[in-house]
Amino acid sequence: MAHSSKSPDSLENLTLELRRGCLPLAVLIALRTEQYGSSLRKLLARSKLKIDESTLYPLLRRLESQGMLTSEWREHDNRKKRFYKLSEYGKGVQFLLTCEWEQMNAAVQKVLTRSDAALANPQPSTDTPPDSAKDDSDGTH
Amino acid sequence: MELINRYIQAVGMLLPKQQKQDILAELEEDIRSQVDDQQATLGRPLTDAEVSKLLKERGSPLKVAAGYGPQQWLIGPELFPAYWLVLRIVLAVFGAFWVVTWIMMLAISAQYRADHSGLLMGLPPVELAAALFALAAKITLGFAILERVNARTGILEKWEPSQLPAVVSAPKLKPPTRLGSAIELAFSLVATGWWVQALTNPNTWEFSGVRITLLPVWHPVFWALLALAVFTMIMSLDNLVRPIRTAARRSARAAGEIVRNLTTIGVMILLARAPSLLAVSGANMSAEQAAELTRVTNLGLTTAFTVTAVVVSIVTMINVGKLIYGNWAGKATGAGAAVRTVC
Repeated sequence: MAHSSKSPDSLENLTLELRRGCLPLAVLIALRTEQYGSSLRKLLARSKLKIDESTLYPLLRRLESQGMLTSEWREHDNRKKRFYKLSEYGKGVQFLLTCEWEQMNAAVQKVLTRSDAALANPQPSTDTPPDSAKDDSDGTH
Repeated sequence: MELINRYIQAVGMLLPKQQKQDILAELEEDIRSQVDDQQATLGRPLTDAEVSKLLKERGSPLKVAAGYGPQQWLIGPELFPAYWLVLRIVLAVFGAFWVVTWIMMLAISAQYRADHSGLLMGLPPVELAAALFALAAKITLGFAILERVNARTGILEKWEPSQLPAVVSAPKLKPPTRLGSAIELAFSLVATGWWVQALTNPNTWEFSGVRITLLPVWHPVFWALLALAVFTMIMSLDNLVRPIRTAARRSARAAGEIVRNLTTIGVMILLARAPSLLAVSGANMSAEQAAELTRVTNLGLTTAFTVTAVVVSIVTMINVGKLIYGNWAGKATGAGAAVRTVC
C-alpha cells in the first residue's frame, strides 16, 4: 500500500536512513582511541549522536567481522569488558570514508546555498547554468 | 537481578551458536554497567520495576537477537514490486475465472447442483481458498528462487534497453496470419468431416468393450455445430486467399468472430444445461459401474462446456472492447494513428 507523501512516518524514515548512513563512520572515528561498548555509547551521546545498544553492538560485530576493528576482553573497574579499536585496515577505511563524508557534506552545502540564492532571487531555471562547468570542476562530485 | 538473567537467557535462545557466549557476555556486562551507573546516580539499588523499564528500553529479546543475525529476506526490495504485481494479477484472474465458472455450473448443471447440495455446498469456496493459497505459495517460491539465483548470477542486471517491450499502443484487433488461417482451415476440415460422419451414423462408439452413446440432446445442436465449423472454414479460406489488410475487412472479420463466439456460447450453455449428454455401458461392467461412469463423464463434459462458455465469453468481451475502443481511438486521433496509453 502506498503511503501518503505527508505521512509522519516519512520524516522519521528519512531521518533514520540519514542516521544509519552516518553511524558506521562516527563509530570508526570514535574508535581511533580504544573504547568498550558503554564508553563508546557515552562518547557518541556526548556528541549528540545517540545510538541504542541493539544497534551499536551488532554494528561493532559487523565492523569487526569485516576486519576494520580488533577487540579483546580486559579487566576494567573490577569488571571484564570488551575493548574495541581500529585495525590498520580500519584506519584506511575510516580515512577514505571521512574524505567521502566531507565531499558529500560540501556538495549538499553547495546545493543548499544555491537553493537559498535562487529563493532570494527567483529566475527562470535552465538545464545548463553558465557557471556549471566551473563549479563541477572543483572536485565535489 | 533475576530479570536480567531471564532477559539474557531469552536473547541467548535466539542467537547463533558460534557467537552466543561472546555476545551474551558483552550484553550482560553492558546491562550491569548501565544498572551500576543508575544505582550510583540514585544512591540506592534499582527496584524490579526500574530494571524492567531499563530492559524494555533495550528492546525485546527478539529484536536484540535479530540485530546480530545477517540481513536476509525471502523476496528482496528490488523484486518485491514485480512479485506483488504478478501475485495480485494471477490470484485475481484465477479467482474471478473460478467464481464465474462455479456460478455458471450452479446455474446450468442440475447434476452439479445435486452433487453439491446440503453441507457439500460449502466445499467449493474451501477448494477455491486452498487453490488460491497453493497458487500464492508457488508464485512466492518461484520469486524466492529467482531472488537467490539473481543474488548469485546477477541475471536481472543483464538487460538492454532495446530488449524492453514495445510501447503499449491502443488495443487493436490483429488480423490472423495466413499460417494461422491454414492451420485453422485444416482443423475445421477434419472437425467438420468427423462431426458429419459421427452424427450421420448411429451415435454410438465402442472402445475396448466400453460403449458410449450420444443422447438425443445433441440433435438440436448438430446443425449449429456444423454451421460453426463451416463458418470457421470459410473465414480461414477467405484470409488465406485474400489476406485481411484493410480496416473495413478487419472490422468485418471481428464482427464475424463475435457472432461465431456468441453462437458457440449459446451451444455450450445448451449442452451444459442438459441433464445427461451420453450414456456409458459395457459387457464387462455392472449396471452400477456403468451408471457411475456415465455420471462422472457427464459431469466432466458439463464442466468442460461451462469452462469453454466462460473462456469464450471473456475473449468475446475483450474483442468487443478492442473493436469499440480501437474504432473510437481511430476516430479520435485520425485514421490509422496509434494512441498511446499512459499507464
